[in-house]
Amino acid sequence: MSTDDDNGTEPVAQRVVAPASVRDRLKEAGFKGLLLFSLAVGLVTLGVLLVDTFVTGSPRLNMDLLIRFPSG
Amino acid sequence: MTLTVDPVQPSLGQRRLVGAKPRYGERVIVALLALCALLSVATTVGIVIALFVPTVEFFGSVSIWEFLTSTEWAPLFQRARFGVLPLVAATLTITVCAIAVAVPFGLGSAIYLSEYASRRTRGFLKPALEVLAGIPTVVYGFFALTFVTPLIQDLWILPGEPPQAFNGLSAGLVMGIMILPTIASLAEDAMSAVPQSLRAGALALGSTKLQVSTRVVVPGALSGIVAAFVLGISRAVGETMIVLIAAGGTPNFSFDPTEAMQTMTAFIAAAGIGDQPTGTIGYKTIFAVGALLFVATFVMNLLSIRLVRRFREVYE
Repeated sequence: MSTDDDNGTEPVAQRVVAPASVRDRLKEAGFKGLLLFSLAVGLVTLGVLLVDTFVTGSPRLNMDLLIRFPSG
Repeated sequence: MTLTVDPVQPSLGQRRLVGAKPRYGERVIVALLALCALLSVATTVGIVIALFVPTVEFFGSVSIWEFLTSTEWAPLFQRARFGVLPLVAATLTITVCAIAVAVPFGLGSAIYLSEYASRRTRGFLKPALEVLAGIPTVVYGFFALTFVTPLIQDLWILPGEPPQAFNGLSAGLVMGIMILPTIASLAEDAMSAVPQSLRAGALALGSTKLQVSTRVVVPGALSGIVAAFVLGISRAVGETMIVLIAAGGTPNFSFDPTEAMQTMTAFIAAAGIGDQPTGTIGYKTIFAVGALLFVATFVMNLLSIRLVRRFREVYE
């Protein structure tokens, strides 16, 4: 069995299984975009949380924090 | 070469396999493992008893009907009111907000990691996402109060007043982010366990990756996905620190997430810091609310077991 036709016509696999339509490819791309967005929600929030915590907390990161912590 | 068997001696299969000497070490290990299993059961029984006794005493003083149906909650005031519905409403409202974030985004992340990401990408993205699960909840609480609430107030475009400084919405959204990696990770594990042959079969029939993901992999892993959802929801119901910091301490019978509200766990934490003298009705209130929370999570776990069994797919 050959996969490609020697006469330069389309491969056997392409003749048996129709290529994905433009609509299918658009749906596929949209779905992948949604999945990437879902993943980004968690990762971006993680980034924002880390940056916010660092920006807010870094001015307080000094020796006083360790040896002269406010008591009340 | 020929093998001969002595007719007098039993064959190898008939002989009993007996250890050369008693294995005492092995017995000790088995006993230790049994003790470990017993310890967790004993702890659960201890918790139930510790909750049950003060709860029964509480319902000796307060009508169970008033507790479950009244909409005013002020157990520590001079004129005490014991309607738990405001706490239940707040718990439900914040849990729904958390689920609205965690379930779709967690499932989306799981499908991407399982079906679309390369092995290398998955090896980087999954641990990065799981970092979110390791952040202390007190950090999430302050993040909700100092970052998310002002952001929502600034960007508020919906009709009505923007959220108050303490509100259920930011607590719920941040709680959703907190449980997102739990759902994503467990659901991804369940999807990875679906046999590759099912994917290959669907692709060979001409399915697109979208169809394979949504019609083969997700249904095939539904039992694990449902278990991930229920575990995430249980975490949301039992979460304390975020709601204590960001949602406020006002028992408010409302399903409006933009208002300040107090959940069951937040009440237990606020009232249980040692101000209530032992044996008072205020002290016993903590146990009554704890018992209600215990029953709610217990029922949810029973439901999840039924759901997991209902959707379980067995592959050989």
